[in-house]
Amino acid sequence: MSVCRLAGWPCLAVAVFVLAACGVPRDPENSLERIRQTGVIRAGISAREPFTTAAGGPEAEVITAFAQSLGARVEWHHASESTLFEALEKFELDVAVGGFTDDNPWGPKLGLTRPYLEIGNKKHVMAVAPGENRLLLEIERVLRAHAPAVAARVGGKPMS
Amino acid sequence: MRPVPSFYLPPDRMRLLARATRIEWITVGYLLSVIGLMYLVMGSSQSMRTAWIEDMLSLVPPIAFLIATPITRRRPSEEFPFGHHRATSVAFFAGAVALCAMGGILLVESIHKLILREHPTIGAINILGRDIWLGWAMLAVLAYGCLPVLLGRLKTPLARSLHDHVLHVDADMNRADWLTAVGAAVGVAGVGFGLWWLDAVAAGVIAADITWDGFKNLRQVMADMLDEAPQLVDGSAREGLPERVRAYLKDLPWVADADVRLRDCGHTFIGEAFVVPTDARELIPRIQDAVEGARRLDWRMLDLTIMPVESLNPVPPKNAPGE
Repeated sequence: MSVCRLAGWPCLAVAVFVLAACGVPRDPENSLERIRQTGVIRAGISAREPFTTAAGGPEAEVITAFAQSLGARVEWHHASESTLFEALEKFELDVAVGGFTDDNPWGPKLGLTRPYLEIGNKKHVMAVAPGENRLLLEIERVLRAHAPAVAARVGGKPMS
Repeated sequence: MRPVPSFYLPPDRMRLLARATRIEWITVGYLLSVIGLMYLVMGSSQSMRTAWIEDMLSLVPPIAFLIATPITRRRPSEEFPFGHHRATSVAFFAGAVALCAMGGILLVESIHKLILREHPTIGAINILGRDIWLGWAMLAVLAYGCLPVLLGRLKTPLARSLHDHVLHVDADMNRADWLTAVGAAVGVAGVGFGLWWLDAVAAGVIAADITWDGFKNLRQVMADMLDEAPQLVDGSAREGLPERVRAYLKDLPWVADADVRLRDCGHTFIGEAFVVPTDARELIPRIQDAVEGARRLDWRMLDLTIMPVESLNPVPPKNAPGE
């Protein structure tokens, strides 16, 4: 027991370092790895002005920028919100945009990003396949960087 | 009705009680800080949620101790002739039921998540202007939540010296807290490595442990309420006091044989003794002296009623059928 107590903290520090070096968190379904290898990101979009339009819109451009940062192209799937969420849950899509808000009842079953934009009392998010934590972190990084630009186009204030 | 005598702790135990009370306040404050921090970093990890609820439930024993201790010291009265030492059992019973119920619910929840193959999402958190993986923050909070183990180690000897069951249960739960924290850490680390199922499995193990804790406590408190033969507070062995009282009475020159029937009233012992006198002269002053002598044997020996009998043969059953 006393050995455990003495060794506990240094062991923990070493463990954290080793884990960080292994690319933790990893995706249980290998989404990010697959996107890098195939060069295709499967993105869902449902049109909801001004966030997304039939032709794209500011949220879609964030995904395009994300795909470019990985050297991939976006394969767009247009569908209704509930269809997109179902597809995300089954890992048939990687990410979906459509002016979603963080109070979405599907939220707990998906991987929502943190809110990046506040309009009125609505906090806007994007939806990622559930539990694909590495993919979520990478999308969040790009999303944070683009939040001010999106906010400028649709109104509202960016959140960090 | 005639109340049992008033009970005061001896000065050295009084100091231990003050110390135990201080440690319990620290425990409550510390647990509240752990619970607050865990809430902030919970994400959708089932093992974190389970550990969080476990931490909330481990508030029950220290709060029961802090609320019930002043109540137990109320003087016995006409209305409560046996005193108030059992007040702790009531609080304790509620806690045990809560542990069983929550443990069961959490166990079902984690099995449900496993069957539905729900992948826990653990995203990012902004700490001091930098985005880091929330899992790191969880692991840090879980490490912080391990420290009550040390409080538990301080409480165990105090519980023994004060003969306090609630304090002992609390110490046990604190010592188990680190297992919960390690379990949750395994779940979170598993998610980090892409093993989504490890989160639900770890949560299930913690939930099973909570249920088991509740079951043990429930059994213990029921035994207390049924006046089980007195045990040491850690339940490891029979309490030696009844045998000491019996030996003391048997060794008196005017006593041929003796036996006792004692109950553990929380912190004190109360009961009856049956003695077979060798001669019946001056029986009343002798019995009075024997009662005083028995009460001096131990600081917890509050009251003894001594009954002279012809023999220690069992009393026939009452209302037995076929008589």
